[in-house]
Amino acid sequence: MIHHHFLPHHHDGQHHRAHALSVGALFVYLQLLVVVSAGIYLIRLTSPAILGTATFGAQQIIELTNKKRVQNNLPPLTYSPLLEQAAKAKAANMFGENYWAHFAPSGKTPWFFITAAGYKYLFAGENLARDFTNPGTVVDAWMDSPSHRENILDKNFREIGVAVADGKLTGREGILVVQMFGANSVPVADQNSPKPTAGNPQQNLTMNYEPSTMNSSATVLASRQFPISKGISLVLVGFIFLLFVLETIFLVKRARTHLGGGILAHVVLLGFLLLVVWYSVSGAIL
Amino acid sequence: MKHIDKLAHLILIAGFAVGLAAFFKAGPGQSQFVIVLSMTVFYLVWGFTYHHLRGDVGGRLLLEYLAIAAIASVVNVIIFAH
Repeated sequence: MIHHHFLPHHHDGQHHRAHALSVGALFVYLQLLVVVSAGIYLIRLTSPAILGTATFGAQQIIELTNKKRVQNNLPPLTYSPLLEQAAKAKAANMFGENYWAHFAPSGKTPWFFITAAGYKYLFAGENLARDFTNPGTVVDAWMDSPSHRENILDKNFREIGVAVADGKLTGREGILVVQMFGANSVPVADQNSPKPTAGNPQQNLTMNYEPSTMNSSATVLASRQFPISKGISLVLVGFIFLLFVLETIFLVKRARTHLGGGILAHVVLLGFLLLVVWYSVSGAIL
Repeated sequence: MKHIDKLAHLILIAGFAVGLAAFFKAGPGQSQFVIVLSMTVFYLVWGFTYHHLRGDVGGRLLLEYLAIAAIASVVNVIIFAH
């Protein structure tokens, strides 16, 4: 019977696990995981075009960020080459010093890069993201986080610069996104306007909503190898976890006080693994 | 035996809770790989000790633990070792 493959059952007065949880089946999953992952890895080495790549650009991040601002009745941010320069310098510094944080181990703050780029700010902010595979999920993740959302929807900010770079950071290959926000004390669009007055700094800022041209080098290609491998891992671990959960529920319903065969240990390890894979699939923000 | 059962499962859950907290606290990087690997080893050690105390260690059970630990290790490599 087909449901015996996926559900625990009683047969001849004895409890039987789902056939899909037999030791043989577990080793089949293991082999499947190894073969598929190794295959995808080999394809990436020999013919990466088969897996395809996703374009991941700074301009997409800016457009999506501005879309969120407009949806929240806020004016869009203007592209600032100086903020982009600051974001690129920050990304280079993160790769150089190998850290994942707003503050560098050497003590450099986000504001250091903004000032070093020649941007004189009244207000400034920074959002970071890594290991995402498309720009939409980056901006969505930031919007789901109160502190990052606050930066995106901050009415004090007028300009934006984004850097997207790929490389190895803290031991892992991936894509790094640095998003810098600012309000310049010397408005680019209106150099002759009066200087901002203390206490009400935004008063004299001129906003320029004209679309600006972006540097095409701010785009990287994200290989689909890791999303595919992670997706397979997630499905497989999720499947085994679900079967063990069903087994647990079945045994508890049968009023068995002891969950034999270390089922709880399997459920706990697989649940832990699911959280780990999910976390890794979703990327990280800071 | 019932007390040992409860204690063993308490240790198991507490161990994984600590591992999960350490994983998220560590943030992205090589240390996460080490934490997942450590939790897999902890799972194996816990399983062997627990079943040894219960006196039900058997070939099939050991293979089951090893298969799940191997799946966990391969997934760990896929996610973090690139």
